[in-house]
Amino acid sequence: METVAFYSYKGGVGRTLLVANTAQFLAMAGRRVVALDLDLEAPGLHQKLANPSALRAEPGELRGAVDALLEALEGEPRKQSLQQIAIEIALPAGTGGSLLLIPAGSAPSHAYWAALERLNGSLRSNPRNGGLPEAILELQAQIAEKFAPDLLLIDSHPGITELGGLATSILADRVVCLTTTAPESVEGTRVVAEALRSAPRLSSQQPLRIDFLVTRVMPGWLASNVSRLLEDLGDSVAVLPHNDAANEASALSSWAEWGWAWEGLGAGAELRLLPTTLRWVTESFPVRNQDPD
Amino acid sequence: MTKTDSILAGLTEDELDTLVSIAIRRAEILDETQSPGANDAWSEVVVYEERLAALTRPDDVPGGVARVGAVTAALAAGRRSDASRLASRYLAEEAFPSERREAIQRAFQEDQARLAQRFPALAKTGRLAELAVWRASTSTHLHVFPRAA
Repeated sequence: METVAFYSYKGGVGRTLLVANTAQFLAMAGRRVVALDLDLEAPGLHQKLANPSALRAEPGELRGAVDALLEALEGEPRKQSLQQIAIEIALPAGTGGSLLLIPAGSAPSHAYWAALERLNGSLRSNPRNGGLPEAILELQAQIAEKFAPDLLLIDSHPGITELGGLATSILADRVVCLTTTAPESVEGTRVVAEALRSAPRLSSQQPLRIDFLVTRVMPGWLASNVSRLLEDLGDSVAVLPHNDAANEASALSSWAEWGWAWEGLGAGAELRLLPTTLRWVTESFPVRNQDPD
Repeated sequence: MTKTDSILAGLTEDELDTLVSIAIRRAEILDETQSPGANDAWSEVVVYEERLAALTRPDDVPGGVARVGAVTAALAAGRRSDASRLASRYLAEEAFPSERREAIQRAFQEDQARLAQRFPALAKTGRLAELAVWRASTSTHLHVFPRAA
């Protein structure tokens, strides 16, 4: 299982949508994918991936990563197994792969914020029972054990947080760092990438791979300047253009925000991708050939 | 020198002995009542034990007890980085007796066993032990995410 954390120093760079679309694309291409929402303070991956009607069915009852972490830290008997927490995302017929979503929880709801507050309290009050590193690695190990996916894609919390630090260091085999061309975004990304390059790893881990994505680049903008600032700090830099036509569609459906769109979700759906984004995904995540011929 | 260090420097071994005995009892009571204050109480024990260790020889009985006490109290407080740091320091002392060394190693083994029970899937991967080493390395590393460890 390869674990890829999608990280951004600033919000609003298209990170969550890229996680959702990458997960769907790779699942449709035959890979077994688990998408995990660790943007616990402002989760949104479930809104991008799961069927909205299913989410509305039981408000406040959706369980997720917060509940799993809490149960691990507090040693409580599990109310639901990880299999019950994970949501199977419907894919078009004939799709060879699979996609499971582990949401952060039932956000936004009072029950979710209460669980999150309890998690923070538990971490502060009883470090003897293990901390966030143990809990988050336990969740990762359970995912590997129960689902045996090819890929675990993580929507990581932006900025500098404890969980973001863990997701991008000891949890990840690879980090995809997204930034816009805004100076504050680029500078923050540089500092974080420098720290990640020198951060200690677990002894069984390979060196961390860091890929940069410069996003929301408008025509005529000199994204190459940003690329030059980042290229020495990572393994690759790609520039993804902003797409006006897709943005128009995003007013109706957030799916299209990145220029990717479903045409008839779940019923012979077809992904339309901006060529540069498609190239980045296929180059970054080589897809197995499903056809023996 | 911190304010705590300067206060501790003015205490005799006897005074520290008295303080650490009270602190241990207090921490044990808070532990029994599952009070959130237990971690702080064990941290207080670490302070006294560490100072006692500095005042005593590793091959003296009080010195051995203080060194083992400092490490076990740090583990009881959930301060595993500090426990590793202290253990490294004491185990590097040539005169430190083998039975005390074994006591320290046993304390870490018990801590690992407790964690393995709580995090069974992680324990199976073998990464629990790696985490201990990782924690020790992050304590000396200027990490951009300082709270992560």
